[in-house]
This record gives sequence, structure tokens and C-alpha cells, in this order.
Amino acid sequence: MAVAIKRLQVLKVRLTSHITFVLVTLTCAAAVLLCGFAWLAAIKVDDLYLRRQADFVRQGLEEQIAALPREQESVTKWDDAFLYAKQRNHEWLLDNVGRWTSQYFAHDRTYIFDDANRLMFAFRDGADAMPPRLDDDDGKEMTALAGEMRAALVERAAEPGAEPIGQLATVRTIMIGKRPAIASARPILPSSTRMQIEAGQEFIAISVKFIDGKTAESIAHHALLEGLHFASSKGEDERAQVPVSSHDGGTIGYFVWPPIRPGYMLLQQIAPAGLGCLALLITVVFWLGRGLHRTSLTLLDSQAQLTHHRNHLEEMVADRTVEIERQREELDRLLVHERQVNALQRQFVAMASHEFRTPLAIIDAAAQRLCRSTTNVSGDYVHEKAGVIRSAVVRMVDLMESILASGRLETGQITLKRSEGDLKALLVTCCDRQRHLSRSHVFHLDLQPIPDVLTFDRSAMEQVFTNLISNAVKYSPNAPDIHVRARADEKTVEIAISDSGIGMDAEDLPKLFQPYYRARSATGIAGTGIGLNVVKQVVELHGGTVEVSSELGKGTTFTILLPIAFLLSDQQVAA
Amino acid sequence: MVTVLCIEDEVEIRNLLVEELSEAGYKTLEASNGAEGLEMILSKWPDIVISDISMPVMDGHQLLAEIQINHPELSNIPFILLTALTDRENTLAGLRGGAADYLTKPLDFDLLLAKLEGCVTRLANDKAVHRSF
Repeated sequence: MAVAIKRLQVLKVRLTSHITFVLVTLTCAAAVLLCGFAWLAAIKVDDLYLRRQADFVRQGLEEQIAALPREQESVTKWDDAFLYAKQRNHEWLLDNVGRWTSQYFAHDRTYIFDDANRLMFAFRDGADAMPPRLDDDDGKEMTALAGEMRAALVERAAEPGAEPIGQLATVRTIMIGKRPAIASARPILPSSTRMQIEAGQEFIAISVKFIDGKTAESIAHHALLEGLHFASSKGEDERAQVPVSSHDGGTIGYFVWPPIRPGYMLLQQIAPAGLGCLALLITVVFWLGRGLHRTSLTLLDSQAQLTHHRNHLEEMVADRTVEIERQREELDRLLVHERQVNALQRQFVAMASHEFRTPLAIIDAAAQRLCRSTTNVSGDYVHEKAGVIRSAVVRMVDLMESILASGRLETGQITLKRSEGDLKALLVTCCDRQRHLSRSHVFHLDLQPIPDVLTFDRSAMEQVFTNLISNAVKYSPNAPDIHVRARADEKTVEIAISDSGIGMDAEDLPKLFQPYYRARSATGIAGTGIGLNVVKQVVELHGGTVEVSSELGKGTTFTILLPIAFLLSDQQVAA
Repeated sequence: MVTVLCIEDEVEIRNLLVEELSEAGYKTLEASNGAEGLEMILSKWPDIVISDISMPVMDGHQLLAEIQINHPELSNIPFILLTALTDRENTLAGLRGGAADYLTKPLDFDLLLAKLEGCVTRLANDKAVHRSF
């Protein structure tokens, strides 16, 4: 059921999309049906009309046939006619029978047979035929008719109680020669009872009326028809003819008339107008259908657009969802990063506090010692304590410088103050200072020649060397050997500082130069996590790079590579 | 004579501390990190331990935990933490870990000496009580 409904809907949609075609087809079908009905109606009307015409013609013919004996009666029921016929008075018969029937009733022929059935009188075609004779064309039929009539009269007379014989008449339609005719036989009888006649002794009168133009005209007049005529053979239209039968059952001819078909004529008349209307209707339907089709196309298009838009909307929503998801992940990532930075900063603050407190503690402790020992204090003792205090102060200053530098670097405020100087000498100075601070370590210097005069930011570079050397000391508590190497080729100055200390895990190396980041192996060793960041930034500002290689438990090497071109650039410009 | 072990990675501070304690009449032992300190505790049995927290190799918390867990017989040695870490987390962790006290740098020598005196008195009392049994 559902499938059927679905199919129906599909069909409907298809038909809707060919609406013009459907409408025109339906209109044509309706028009064809209408034409068919009109055609059928016309045929029916024509049929009815023709049948009625045929009925009229048939009635007319019957009327003609019935009229003949009636007319004949007026000349055969008459005492005088009986007497003069018995007397064989030719003149009287000619005047009162022949001319009368011919002129008043338009009978074509009149014959009178005597009691011995011999032709006594003949009036043919308006003229007396004297002596009377029967020609080849009417002889046989007339004689036979008269004999038959006489036999009937005798038979009737033999019947007891039979009605008067005066009423007897025999009417035939026959062919006389090749002409169809109505023939009526009647006995000539007295109209009064004064005279009697024996049965079989009657004189027989026969009137003949050819079925010719006059008869046809008379029938046509009766049937209100034009063009009615007698034809020996059938006409074209079966319905527009009436057969004329002979007494022996055969057909002697037909009354034929041109068939008038009012339905057909009406159709013919209205056909051009109808076709015009139909064409107009189809045009209008086509036009409307096109409009509807266009409208439906627009609707379908709109629907398609809506569907597309809906689908697109889904896509857009999906895209947007993906975008939002991506943004969320980005935010999460940023948040995690921010948290890490925050954690690093907190750690830095704690470490900074610790780092400041340590030299402060040294200074404070030394001062307390000096305060307590006021009684017997030697000059050496004071000197020693002052040295301790000074080195702690230096340490604090370095720390402060490092933090400040880091802050400046972070905000991008730092600019190099480059001046000419001896890089190698600076390195040696830094080593010496560190050597003085940490006597437990041994510094092995391997310094090959590098250009004596280079242009660099002295204080920044000093910080770089100090950081790296102090780191080497700090992270190798049990390995006293620190190697400092310097060498140069045409392009690069290379300074490497190695220790054999605690080293770092490979995983720590990529993050090592991030601000506040400290390798995990540095746990328990004081530090702020900003030194290496400062090193990296300063070296990069000098156009160089810092490389690190380290192995956990084996030691670490930091290598600074500085391009000579950069270190000489100002000189070259000056030169 | 009461023996005090000073565990401190900063040489200057350690030197000054030892100097002060010696002057106050204590016998001092020195160690530069937690591992050395543990070795010293196990071998020399000091009466009192003063330890920094931030140190290489083994830090103060680790040392304290090591003693509490692996050497409970030594856990009654007064363990004073002396550190530059002033934050609450470290303070709580140190005290919870079994430290007798938590002192911060810069250190006040009078405060430290008072603590040590208190510890010494308690140690003497403990010994007296033990002896009476």
C-alpha cells in the first residue's frame, strides 16, 4: 500500500514536471471526445431524419396505391356505366370513363374487359385506342389481372352471406413493359338494386397509373422532399430509398432521393468554428501550462535551493563545529601553555627569593659574626669577613643583572651596545673570577688565536660567559674539571665550555633555553632558570647560535658559535 | 660535648655557621650535601643535625625521609632545617617530615643558639631519664 502511494506520488511529480504536455494532452483528449459525441449525435440525427423521410415516402406511395381503386370506384359504381358497358357503347365509355379517368384522375391507361374476358375498350395515354388491343408490354398482365378478378368475383358469389362484391378491388404494382405501374381491377357494377348481374358476367375495368415523374412529384409533395425519383436500381444511400414491391414479392424499383443529413450539415457548418475554438483552447491551455510549468519549475528550483541550503547549513554547522572544536583545542593548548608559564614563573619567584636569600644570609651571618667578635677582633678576621660579604654582594648584583637582562630581553627592549674589545681577554677574566669564587674546581683553558679586536656588547657577553661558567661549576659538584676552549676559523669564533657534571636527560635539551625552564637533573641545585635564556638571546643578537650536548651523569658542553662577519662588521664600515 | 652536624652546600654559610657554633662551645661536623650528611650521621652519630634543603645529590627533605624510613633508630636526633626556602609548602613538608624546627635564611645566630640550647637541655633530660631506669 505504502509502495503504491509512493509510486503514485512519483508519477504525480513526473506529471507535474511535464504539466504543459499533460494539460494539452488532456485538452486534446477532451476535444476528441467532444467531437466523437458530436459525430455520433449527427449520425443519429441523420439516421432518424432519413428514416422519417423514408416513412413519408412509403406513406406517399401507399397513398398513391390506395388512391387508384378509390378513384376508379367513382366511374365503375354507376348504373349508366353498367348499362353502357353492357351495350358496348364506345362513345359513352370514351367520354365518361376514358376521358374522366385520364383527365380527372390522371390514370395513364384504362381497360374494360367484357364478360367473356375480351378487351372491349382501351384508353391509352390520353387517347382512345380503337380498335382496342393489348400490346406486348401490357397484354399478358392485363388479361391475367382481369381473369383473376373475375375468378375472385365468382368465388365470392359462391360464398353464402358474403359481402357485396362491389367492394372488391385488386391493386397491383407491376411492370408494364419496362415501366413500373400501379394497376387496379374492379368490376363495373350498377349502383342501384334495380339491375342485377350474374356472378362471372361482370365487365372488368382496369386502371393503370405509371409510377413516373408525376407520381414521384406527388409523393415528394406529400413527404416534403426534393429530388425524389424512381430508379430501377438501388441508390447510393440505403436509407434514402424506398423499394417498390410487385405483387409476386419481387422488387420492381426504388424511390430514391438525395439524402438530406442535417446533423452532418450542421457539423460541416460548425466545424471550422469548432476547430478554431479548439486551436484557441489548446493555445490558451498551452500558454497557461507554460506559465504553470514555469511556476512549478521555479517552485522546484526553490525547493531544490532550500534543500541545498538545508544540506549546506548542515555542512556549515559541521564546519563551524569543527572550527569551534579546533578553537577550543587551541584555547586548551593556550591555557595549558599559560598554566605552564605561570607555574614556571611561580617557580622562578620562589627560586629568585631563594637565590637572593642565600647571599643575604652570607652577608648577614658575616655581619653577625663581626658584631659578636668586637672584643678580640684581628685585622685579618675583619678583612676575611669583608671579602665574604663583598663576594656575596657581587653574587647578588650578578643575579639582579641577570634578572633585569632577562626582563629586558623578554620585553624586547634590549639593544646591543657594541664596542671594540678583546673577546678572549673577557673570557679569561670571567674564568678568573669564577676560579676565585669556587676554589674546588679546576679550569683548563685551551685558547687558540682568535681576532684580537672584535665588536661586541661587552657586558652582555660577560654575562653569557659568567652564566655558562658558573653553570658548569654549579652542575658539577663532584667533578672539578672545567674545560674552556676558544678557537676561530675564517668565518666563525667558537667558544665551548664543558663540564663532567650531572648532565641532562635528552628530553630536557629542546626546552633548555626557554625562560624559567630547569632540567630535571637540576633539582636541589639553586637556580632561577633564566641564565641560559639570556645566553641564547644575547648570542642570537650577535648573529650567532648556542649548541648544547649533554649526557645524564657524564657532563654537558655548551658551544657558542659567533660569525666573524658580524663581529667585524662595524670595523669594516669604519674602515 | 654536644656534636652538631652542619649540612650546607654554600661554603661561606657553612664556614660562618661552623665558626659561630664552635665559638658557642659545640663540636661541629660538616657535610656539603644530603648524601654526605647521611654518611656522617651514620658514622659519627651527631647529637643535633642542622641541614639546608636545596642541595645537590640529596636535598634536606630526602635526607629527613631517608632517616625516618630507613634509619628510625636515628630519628630522635633533633633535625633542624635551615633554608632560604620560605614558602609555606616547604615549611609544612619539612615539619611534617620530622624536622624539630624550620629556620629561614638570613639566619639569626641568637635564635639558632637558643634552639640548640633547648635541644641540648632536652637531650640531657632524656639521658637522665634513661639512666634512672
